[in-house]
Amino acid sequence: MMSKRILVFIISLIIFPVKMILGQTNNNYGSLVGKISDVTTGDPLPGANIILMQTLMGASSDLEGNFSVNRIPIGNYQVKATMMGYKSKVIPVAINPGEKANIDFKLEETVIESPTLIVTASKKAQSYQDVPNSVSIISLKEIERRNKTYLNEVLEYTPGVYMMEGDVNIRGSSGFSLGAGSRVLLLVDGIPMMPGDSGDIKWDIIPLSQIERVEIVKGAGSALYGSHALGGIINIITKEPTSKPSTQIQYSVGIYDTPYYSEWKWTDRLLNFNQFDITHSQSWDKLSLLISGGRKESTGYRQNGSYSYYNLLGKMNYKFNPQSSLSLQANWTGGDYGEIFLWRNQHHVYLMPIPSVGDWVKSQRFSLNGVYRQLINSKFTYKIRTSYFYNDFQHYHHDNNDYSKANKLGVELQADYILDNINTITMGIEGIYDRTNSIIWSSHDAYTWAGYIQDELKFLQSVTLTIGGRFDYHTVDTGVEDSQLNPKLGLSFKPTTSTTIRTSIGRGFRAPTMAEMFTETFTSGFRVIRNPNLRAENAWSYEVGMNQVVSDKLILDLALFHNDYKNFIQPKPDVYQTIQFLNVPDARIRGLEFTLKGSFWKRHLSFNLNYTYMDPIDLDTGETLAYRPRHLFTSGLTFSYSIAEAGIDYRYVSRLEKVEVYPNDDRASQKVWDGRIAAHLMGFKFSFNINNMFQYNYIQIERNIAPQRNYVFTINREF
Amino acid sequence: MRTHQKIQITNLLLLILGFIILLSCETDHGLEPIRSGISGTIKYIGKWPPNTAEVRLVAATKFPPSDLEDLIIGDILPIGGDTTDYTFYLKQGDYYIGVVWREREAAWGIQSIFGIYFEGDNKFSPGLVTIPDDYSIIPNKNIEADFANAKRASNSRISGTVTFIGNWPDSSENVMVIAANKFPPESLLNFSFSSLLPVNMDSVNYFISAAPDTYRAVGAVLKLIDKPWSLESIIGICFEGNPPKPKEVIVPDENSLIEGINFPVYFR
Repeated sequence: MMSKRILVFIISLIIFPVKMILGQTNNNYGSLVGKISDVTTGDPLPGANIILMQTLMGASSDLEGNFSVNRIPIGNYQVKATMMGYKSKVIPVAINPGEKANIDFKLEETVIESPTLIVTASKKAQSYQDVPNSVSIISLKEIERRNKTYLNEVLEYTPGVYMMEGDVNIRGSSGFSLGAGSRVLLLVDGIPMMPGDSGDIKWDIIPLSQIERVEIVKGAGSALYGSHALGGIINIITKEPTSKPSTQIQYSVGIYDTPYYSEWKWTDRLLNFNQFDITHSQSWDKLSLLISGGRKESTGYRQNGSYSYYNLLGKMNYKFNPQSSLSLQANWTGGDYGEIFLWRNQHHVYLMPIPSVGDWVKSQRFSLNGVYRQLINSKFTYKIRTSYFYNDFQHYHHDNNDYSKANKLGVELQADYILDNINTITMGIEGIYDRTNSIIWSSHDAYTWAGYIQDELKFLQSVTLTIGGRFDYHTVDTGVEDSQLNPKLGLSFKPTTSTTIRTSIGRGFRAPTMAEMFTETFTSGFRVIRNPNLRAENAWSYEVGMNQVVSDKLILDLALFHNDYKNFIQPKPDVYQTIQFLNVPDARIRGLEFTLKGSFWKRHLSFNLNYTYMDPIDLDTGETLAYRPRHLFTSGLTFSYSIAEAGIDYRYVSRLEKVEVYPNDDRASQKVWDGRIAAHLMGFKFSFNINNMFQYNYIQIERNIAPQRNYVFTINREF
Repeated sequence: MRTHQKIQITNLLLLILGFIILLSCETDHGLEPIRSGISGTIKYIGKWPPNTAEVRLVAATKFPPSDLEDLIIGDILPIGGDTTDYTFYLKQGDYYIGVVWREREAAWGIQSIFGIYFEGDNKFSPGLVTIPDDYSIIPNKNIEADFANAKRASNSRISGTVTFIGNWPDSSENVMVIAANKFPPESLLNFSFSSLLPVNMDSVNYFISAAPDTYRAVGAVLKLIDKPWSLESIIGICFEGNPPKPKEVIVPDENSLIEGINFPVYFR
């Protein structure tokens, strides 16, 4: 009975606005068209955002810089154009009945490339200056500069972010969890994309070639996103189909240098990797499509390190009318890779223990996401998101044949409403169903129900107050239940045009994953035992920050953060290498983050310096938390002129003060230099990167050596 | 040239100079190979148990090891065969080395050690191997690993109280309670151990992690400062009956807790 009522409610939500729109005449509406271009060069600017301020209407410019917004209620509007690397511009416009207003934006390049619109922090587009949390953006240009295979390798250059063998840490949030849960939520176009069994991040889910930009929101984000968003959120914004037919082909080939020490040389083979991607995009009247396929393969740089992967991606946008649209995205990745757990010994760091040689894993993932958007009027819009994620792996190990097949189904209804000149409300409900069928963590079902609401209040254009919260109820078929209300309060204040002060308080929440609760396995000498009584963990996150445009050449950002964790879920190995996930007593991570970006010589030369200090403490023992460094530092220097660009990057992660499994092993800090050059010639883009230029030997987790120096050459052509 | 252009160029030069200085300082290459170690041959005695999951080397910086900090977990060795040559890469220092056995679907523990390097004929005190520098491989440290001593790690335990009567020797370093599955014991490998217990006490409670087996004797061993273990280290045994004989303790299954194995130790 109850489910019927919910169904009727959802159907009425979809039908009602259509009826409402059909019932209205075109006399009440006008439209807006225009073009956005660079004021100096006159070049069109694709991908710029147009917003009719104080409404929920807007558009993005196409490849020719053109944009159009239809069915705008008559009236006077302020239209704002924004684009990363350009100064925002506002132009007033009057929309008259049945008429098409035309405005052209000529945007002026800023000296420093800085973000403009953020879509992650509030589940809707908002100005970067209005976000009360620290946010980092990885632009398409930066992704291309890095020339990496997976996103996790790109993230390592982001302020406050470091990796522990695939486990991403934002300001020390995750530590190392053996791939069984993450305190960072991964979204793809706003939709959670974590497998229902292991709950970790699968970095191969979206090929790098399909990423437009990445938004990283630091601090607890559960007030809108629920479980996992304890330490932060990474939102991958994928590329949109282009308005004109476009095909892009990219091929990369790389080789690994011989190890720095002769003792470590283990093969005479030329160790290499390569990657091929092809993407085609096309639009018709109401329909636009993007399809992409790719392959990655490598010999690996270590014994047993080979992999071979294929991926297919399809994206479709269909506009029913100017007010409603449907987006569908499907992605499949499949392949196999050699399993590497530990090195043989510190004399043979590139070799595996003899019994483990030949262990491999076959895996595939599939996701299908749909978003239906409906603009009811200029003040009210809603969207329905549905998502399905399938994750499947099979071990072919000498000591186990574990497998898991996990299904995750999600549905969410979100509404945005501009109540008046001050209040913008975002609210929604969400349901998630997880089902796993596995030998490693047996077969289980889990459900999550949640509701959230947030009000963004704007005062005098200089103060933005965000207040909201989300209630989550999570249950597993074994009877374990967790529920939590996660409130959030944020304030952004712009005392001058060049200064933004931000502060936020929020609570994060993470339900234990199936892997953390039910793993029962033996692999490579480790025994993992289940803990079905594991409870959800939570954290209070506090932050104060300031963004200062020091001059037209320098931007400074400073943040102080403090996170208090309760019921912290940690893998705890005992002396005999038996591991169990436990709720450990309280922990605290606090610190500061400093970012300085500069640009000189008309942006021909740019640099960035990022430093994060962390104080990660187990409050019960007073000891440093395991797998958390105290200092992170990254910097980069880029010189670009005409068709060419060259740069150098440095990454420092201080030595881990505490590790859990092999505390007697040697550990070193990470000090990695990367170099890069790129040039556009005859319609091609050529890139050459040298990673780990100075052959620095380091580990992220015990007994796993990081890649030695390697060279990557990439050729890219778009036509 | 205008002033602000000069400032820009100066800033640029300073930046480039800073990076060059940083680059020139980069001579550190992080982790290095361990080049020194101990080598020898492991001779397996008895048949390989069919449920063997893993055999690996371990080293202890002190004996008996008190916690993880004292243990270095070494290479996983090939399964099968009568002998295997090994090189255990360890840094300069003093080590006791052994071989542990793990069966499928079970963890390993101290009691899983089934081979120890002994110096000479004293099978009750493991041989200490000294690596004098970071380049030497100390050869011929051969180990006999007898599968008869391969015990599984289990949750079963023996517990009780030891009462100490008389004056403790001045050089007492630590005391442990042991359960021996052979009596008289032939080697250290016949023992299951409690954790290290405090000295100079009137009485102590103990737990021995003891796999299902029949234990022919339970006793206490005292380690004296600067003296290796030997049979003389046994300072007391739990007796029963008249005439007294060592009390036999049977641990029937994985989750057994055998309590009340109490006995006195008399210091002369």
